[in-house]
Amino acid sequence: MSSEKELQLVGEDYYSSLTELTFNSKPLITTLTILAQENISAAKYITNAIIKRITKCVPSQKLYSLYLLDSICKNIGSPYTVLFGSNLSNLFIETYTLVDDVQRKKMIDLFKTWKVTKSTSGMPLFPHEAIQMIEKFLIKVTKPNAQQLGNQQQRGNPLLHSNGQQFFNNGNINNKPQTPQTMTKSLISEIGNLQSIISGRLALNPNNAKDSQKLVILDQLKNILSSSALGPSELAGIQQQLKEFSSGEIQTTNPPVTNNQPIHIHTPPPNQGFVNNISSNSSSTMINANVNTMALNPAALLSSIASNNNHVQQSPSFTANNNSVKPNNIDMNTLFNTLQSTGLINLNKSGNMALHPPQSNKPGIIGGNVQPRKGPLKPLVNLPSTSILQSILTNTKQVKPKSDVRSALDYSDFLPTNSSNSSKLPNIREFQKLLFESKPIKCNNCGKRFTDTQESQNHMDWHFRINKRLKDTASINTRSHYLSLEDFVLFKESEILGEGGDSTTEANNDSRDVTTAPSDNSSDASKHYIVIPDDCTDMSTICNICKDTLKGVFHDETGEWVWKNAIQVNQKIYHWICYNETSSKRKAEEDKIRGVSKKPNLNGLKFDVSLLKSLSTINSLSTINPS
Amino acid sequence: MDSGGKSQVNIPAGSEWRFEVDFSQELTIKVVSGVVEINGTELPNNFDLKFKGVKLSIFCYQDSIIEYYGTFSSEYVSDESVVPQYVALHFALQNFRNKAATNNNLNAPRVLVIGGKDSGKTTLSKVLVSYAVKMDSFPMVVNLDPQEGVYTMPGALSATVVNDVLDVEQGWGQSILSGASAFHPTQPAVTYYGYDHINSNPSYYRYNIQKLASVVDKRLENDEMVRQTGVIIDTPALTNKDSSLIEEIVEAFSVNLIIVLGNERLFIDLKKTFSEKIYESLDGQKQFFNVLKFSKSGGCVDKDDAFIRARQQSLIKQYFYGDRKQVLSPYTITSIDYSRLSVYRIVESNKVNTTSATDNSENLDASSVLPIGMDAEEKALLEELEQSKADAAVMSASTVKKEQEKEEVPISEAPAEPEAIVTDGELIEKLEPESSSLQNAVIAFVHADIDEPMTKVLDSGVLCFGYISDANDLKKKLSVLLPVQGNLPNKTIVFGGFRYVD
Repeated sequence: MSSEKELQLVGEDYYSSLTELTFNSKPLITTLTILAQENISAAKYITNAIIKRITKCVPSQKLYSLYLLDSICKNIGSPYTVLFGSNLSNLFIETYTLVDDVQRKKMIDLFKTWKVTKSTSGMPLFPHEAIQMIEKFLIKVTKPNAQQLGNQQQRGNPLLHSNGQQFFNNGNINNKPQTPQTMTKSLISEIGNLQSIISGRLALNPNNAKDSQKLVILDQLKNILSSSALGPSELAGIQQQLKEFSSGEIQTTNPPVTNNQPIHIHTPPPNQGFVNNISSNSSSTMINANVNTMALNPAALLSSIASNNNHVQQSPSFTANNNSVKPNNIDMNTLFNTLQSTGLINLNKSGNMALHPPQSNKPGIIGGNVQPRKGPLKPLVNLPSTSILQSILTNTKQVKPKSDVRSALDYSDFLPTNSSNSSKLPNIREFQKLLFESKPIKCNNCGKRFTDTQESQNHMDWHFRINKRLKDTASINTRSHYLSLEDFVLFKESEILGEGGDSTTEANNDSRDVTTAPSDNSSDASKHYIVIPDDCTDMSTICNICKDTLKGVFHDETGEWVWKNAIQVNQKIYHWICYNETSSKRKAEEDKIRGVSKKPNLNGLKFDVSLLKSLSTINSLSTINPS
Repeated sequence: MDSGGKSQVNIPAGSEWRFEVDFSQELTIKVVSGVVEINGTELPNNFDLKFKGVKLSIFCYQDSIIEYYGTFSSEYVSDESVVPQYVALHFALQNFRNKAATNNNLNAPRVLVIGGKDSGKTTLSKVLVSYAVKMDSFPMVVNLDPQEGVYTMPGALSATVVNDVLDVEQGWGQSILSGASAFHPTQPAVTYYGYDHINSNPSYYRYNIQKLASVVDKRLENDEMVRQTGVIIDTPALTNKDSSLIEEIVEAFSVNLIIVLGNERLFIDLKKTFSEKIYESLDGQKQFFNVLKFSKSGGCVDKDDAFIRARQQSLIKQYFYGDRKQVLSPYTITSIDYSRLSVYRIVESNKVNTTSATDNSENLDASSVLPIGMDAEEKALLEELEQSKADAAVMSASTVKKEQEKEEVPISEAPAEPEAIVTDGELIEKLEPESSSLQNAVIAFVHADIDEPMTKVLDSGVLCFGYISDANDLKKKLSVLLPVQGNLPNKTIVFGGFRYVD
């Protein structure tokens, strides 16, 4: 059960991950978006965290957090759109005044997309007041751009009408290309979001019968949406009501106190007005519906939610609904499962597919614009079309936080054959995207690429340690013996990555298979320390394995001066990592002498140091550390 | 050529900058801007890389600027490149891998790269390995070209799982060291063939292929990660005449994709040979199998014998002493009694008159043969030293002796099955240690104790290599340079035609 405090913690955690967003990293933004999606119940705090980040970070990095805001709003939509929307204009204008011209240009580009993009529910992304305010501001500050923006306004912006009914209509007109199917899908996803908000609130206050009932009704609504084919006008009705309902919900979840400004939503505030609106709407738009189908009428369902919320007298439609709620209530799990299996509420997929459209002219991490090679290359191999490549690139859904490029690639019709000479090779620009932009961080030392900063930081740490050891002329380095063929058969690369060159930490981050490693050495190491004895005068000592100096530091928890990451064995001090590494090797050697041979794990790739039988490694270590 | 201070070259996207650096020269390059690769491995920006004894091309994904200084033989920019084709091939393989990962009936790609001399086989192998590494997978590279040494000595055949980016200065990278390596080290399986030409003892060569193939097969069985990525096999120069050998390799390594570089006739022949096997679909109903043809890169250059010998000498030196990034300390054991050794010589059934390092002593005058980093003064010293050694004469005598042997040993045109060969003593022969054959020899200690039978010796992999710096028949003692400190390994020694001058 998550408490308010825990949600707050989620927000704080989120803020600390945000501090890594110091460059335009698509994977990072994707990850953060997914995080925001997963913790939708903490939406308020996540929103606050992002706003805080945008206002607090150095100007050069503000843009990336704005991209994140953009990504979240476009992919998840409500409640984030509403939460950000209330503060958007101030945030945007403040940021704009602080950043340099290049970033301003990019902000304008970003803003342009906000004007034309629809949220997942097909509604405008942000409240039009906010958009209008920003637009006015931009026109004022960018005279040369004014014309351009003006044009845009005439051409594509349907948001400039404020009247609720008109707005509603506009939404529809604008959604012409949106088929009922996609509309249904987006509606279902919106319902999913609402449900998670409500269940989040329910977790805080389990006794709230209204909330649990709302959940049931929403489920039913989902069911109706997915099972029956509704006409566009009906869908539109649901959409509108859902929108209003959700803003009511969000405001309930998010006490107005936290916002200095009134929330700019194009619907009246909840409670009485909300209900009135709903009932009037349902009477005006839905009244024509056959009374017999009333139980299946989604709009009526929504009204019933609203009524529940506000204790108004029951409308006829509500009673009708009540009848249908009960049987469905029993079968809720089945219902939910069916929905999932039909793929209709698989929000994640549809949500993330659209992350940062590939054509957007983002600043490439790997450098400026690239001139694609002119003229077609010699056709040799059947290759997928550009669009496939792009969609693969964009489909970052499959790229897990710890990105696995392999799974992001899907060349369904890509065969190692050179029979079809008619197909063209994609130009190198496409390769570049796949190979380099998917891993934006490049090591300055060896050119290796990484998807996230933590990985690359670990890699740089590894370089640092290796270089330090390589420069240390006192240590003798020799070529180890090769494995016997039998041992090679049983060998796993995880072992070599784990010990090759003091690369214990590297192993955990570098090789995917070591996730099964028994323990994370770095976190282990930090738990080990030795309190500096009183007779020690200069606060330092040396590790008996690597001969590095250990310096004393003050340990807050115990209030003593200590040597960190150290262990004392038989009066001798060692680095915890050094000791661990050698002792595990020693153990492996002892096992071998005793004839204890561990059976290789044939299924998984376990980090199994005992398999290491490289004699020389053991020899050389025992010469350094006679035991 | 000397750049005479720092120069810069602008390379447009999609073009290659090709350069050649002799063993006596050194070129330092630095990527100022852009995204560039050598054989599929991306170069770091603003980082000095030093090259010696290489013929390389740098492919540019973006308009790039490279700064360079030092000495070199040639450099030019070409707007032609085969890299996009290779990369396309890589993505096809990647699809292949993805399919194989979800379908148990389908093996991941096991690619055999074949072609004539200097057709870019190793380059393509490196590109495919590098790109697989970029996808965070662990490809296995199998080197069947004894002229080269991949993560090991020349003369050895090896199978190596590559777990990290390649070391572009070295070419591949290092096998595991006792201490730190600048790049992630590898743990190869090594068998010693002992000559640099496959015709020196075709039977033994095939025997080694079979041995390595069974090891690779078992490793793949045990190692899911590697199995899902597959194998890239680099080969010596092969032509139409070698089709039986190619068939044998395909069979042994369960190859499912053959890539022929720049040899149309070989391509057509192989298509015919394997016509029944070919199945161009990844649906898993049958094992995928195909033969593909790629054109030879315009950047391929001839590597003459002197260059190859110099490269081999430098690889041998690297094995013991490391390189500028990681300096190694080998260890010499002196006064080893002959009686403590069990020595086998790999029979040289055909005297191949090419680049074998056997005739090293005759070529010591050629500067290209000098070990890396040796200047003229040292060369003079070396010559003096060589002359003072009576062994030089003995060595040429040994060559004569070998030629006599050659007549005695029947040359098998069509080698029998390996099982049959084991018994007929034609592969390796037991030898009493003597300075005439062992002086300056590169020897391999195999994973077989000195008292174990010959069959065990034949079936064992290499533990480590050594170099006999001195052998004295009068005292019956010799000195061995070993990579690791400690006692002389109590293992059987196998040696072939490789000699080295420290």
